[in-house]
Amino acid sequence: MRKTILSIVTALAAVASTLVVLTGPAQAHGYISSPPSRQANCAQGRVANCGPIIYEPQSVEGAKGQRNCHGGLSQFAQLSDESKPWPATSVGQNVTFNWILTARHATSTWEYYIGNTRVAVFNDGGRQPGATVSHNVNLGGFSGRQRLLAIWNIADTPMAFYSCVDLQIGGGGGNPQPTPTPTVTPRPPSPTPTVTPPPAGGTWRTGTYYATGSTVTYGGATYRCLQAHTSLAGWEPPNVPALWSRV
Amino acid sequence: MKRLAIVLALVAGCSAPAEPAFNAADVMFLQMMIPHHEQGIQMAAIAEERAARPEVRALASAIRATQSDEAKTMTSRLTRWEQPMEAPPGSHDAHGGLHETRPSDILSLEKAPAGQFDVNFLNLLAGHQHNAVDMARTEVKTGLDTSTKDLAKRIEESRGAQIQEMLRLLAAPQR
Repeated sequence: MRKTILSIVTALAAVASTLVVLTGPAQAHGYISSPPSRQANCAQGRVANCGPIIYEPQSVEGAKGQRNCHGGLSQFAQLSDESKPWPATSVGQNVTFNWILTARHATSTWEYYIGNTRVAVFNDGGRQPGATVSHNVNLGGFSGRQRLLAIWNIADTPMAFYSCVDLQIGGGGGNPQPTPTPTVTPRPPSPTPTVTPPPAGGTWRTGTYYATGSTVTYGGATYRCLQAHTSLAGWEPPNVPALWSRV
Repeated sequence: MKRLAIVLALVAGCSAPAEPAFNAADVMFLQMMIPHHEQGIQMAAIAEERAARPEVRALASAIRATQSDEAKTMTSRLTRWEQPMEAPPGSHDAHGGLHETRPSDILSLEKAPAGQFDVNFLNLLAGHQHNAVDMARTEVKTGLDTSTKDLAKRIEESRGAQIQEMLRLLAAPQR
């Protein structure tokens, strides 16, 4: 009898948790990674105080036909806040926009707007895109600082994904070049492994390049680096035996 | 759901010796995460060979090393729990496979032109890791086994940090 109850309860629990898994988190979608979109700048910490978009830059999904940066979603309204210090990427007239996709929705079109002018459209005719997408766009003679709005229109839903990219459009052609961006809030962890390895025995911290053989302390113990890497949150020495061994 | 899991644990506690308590969400998380890790490892291995920028190669090496360890941990946990390594067919494709990285994606990464490789790799792996974050968040919310939920928390954190790093690398292409 008890066994029967147990197995029924087990089965119910299994069904319940399966349902939770399958209807789980937001099943999103995609955004422009480079030149960095506003949500990419927020997610990488280059622009501060962006709100919850930092956890899901791929989720700016709203009804089709909008012309804003946040897809009409109040929780992402900061993306349309023109008073924020959005860094602009210096580009020429031809720019390649690269998308990170986390779901391959059948696609009607990809549209690129500057102001009210649609500078480019790519018609996918309802096909599923590849795992990544790149478009080469001619900016149609626009110059100076511009806010470009990219829209990914999904074929089989009424929804679209929105990504704004701030550009400083100069002469010449070619690929985007990073601008020096004096307006940006500096971020504590150093973004690139330009730092010399810290002195032996220093305390482990994130955003630091560690060479093979260097040592750090963490939680009162000393660890030796087994493989050169730039440290990240979640890669604390006791958690990643592939990278650190306790001395 | 949480209540059911507690009931399950209580009932199990009355009738059986103290088994590590886990639920179907834990099992499915591990079953989905192991192949997801293996794909990440494949992409990273390709990048270690082909990436032009040393920072990209270093990131790829560290990702391959850490994910290989995690995959071993996850595999041995499923074995210890006497659970299958794979979920029943069909249980993963509730979203029509929209979130999967396909073998063909990895193949086309392998064949990407040299000048395009770093950008393709970073965009492909960032999308892949965004999906890992989503799976890990689901496990943190719905799982039962403490060490699996802890692993999920670390996966959520480290993949989030990797995505930040990849976005930085994409935003500042090397001249």
